[in-house]
Amino acid sequence: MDEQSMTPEEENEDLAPAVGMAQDTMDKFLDTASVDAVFGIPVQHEDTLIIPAAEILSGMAFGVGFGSGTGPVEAKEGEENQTPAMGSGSGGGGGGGGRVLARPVAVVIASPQGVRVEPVVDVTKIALAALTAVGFMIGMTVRMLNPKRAFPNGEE
Amino acid sequence: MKILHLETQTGEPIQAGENTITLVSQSVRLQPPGFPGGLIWNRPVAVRVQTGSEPEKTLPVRDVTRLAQLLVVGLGLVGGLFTILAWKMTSKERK
Repeated sequence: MDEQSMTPEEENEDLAPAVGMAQDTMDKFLDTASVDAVFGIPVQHEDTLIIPAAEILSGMAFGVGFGSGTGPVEAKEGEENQTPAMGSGSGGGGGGGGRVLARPVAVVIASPQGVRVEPVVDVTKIALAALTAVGFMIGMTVRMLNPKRAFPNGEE
Repeated sequence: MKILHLETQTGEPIQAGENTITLVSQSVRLQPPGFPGGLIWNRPVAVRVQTGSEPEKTLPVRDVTRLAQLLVVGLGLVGGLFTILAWKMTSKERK
């Protein structure tokens, strides 16, 4: 075997820092599943304490890879008697990605009158859902009114 | 090894005047074994309130936006299905 080619054990040693870093990041990511991530820092305003609450969706993935290879190099003209040089190469790489989506859900308000939970209503999201539903219904109606595109059982 | 983990977490009690507030959240963790990654969904669930010597009250945290979205999309689907059924019934009658 060529001196420069790597054994699987050596490849694993090379990968260890990358895998360790990915694992550390993964552990930190998993720590986000806590109450502190969902409820914000309480805000005191005179007699009232306000605690914001949000829904958090987070995803993350990593990948690491390593490869090595060797190959003979053809001897040059006039150097036929010499031992042909062996080619070798190795490389490694890694990558990862993640996304965090947060959306306010409610606000906890604690005042001298008592504690209550006020919902946060996102009208834009509801309107978009309504538009999608209305679009779906209009599409279905148009399709049924057109004899060529109507459903097979509904053809006249 | 479990792929899906469902956990309920309780925070440290917060003192607000006479009230002691304890925040409760729930997390759903999707982590396939051997896969270097995962998905976590965190959401607030409830607020526990202790006022003086009164019994503890639990106030649910309702996601009104999500409920409204599901309701609207559900109504759209039901409306669409109803339209298809009505169309099929009228076309059979015409035959």
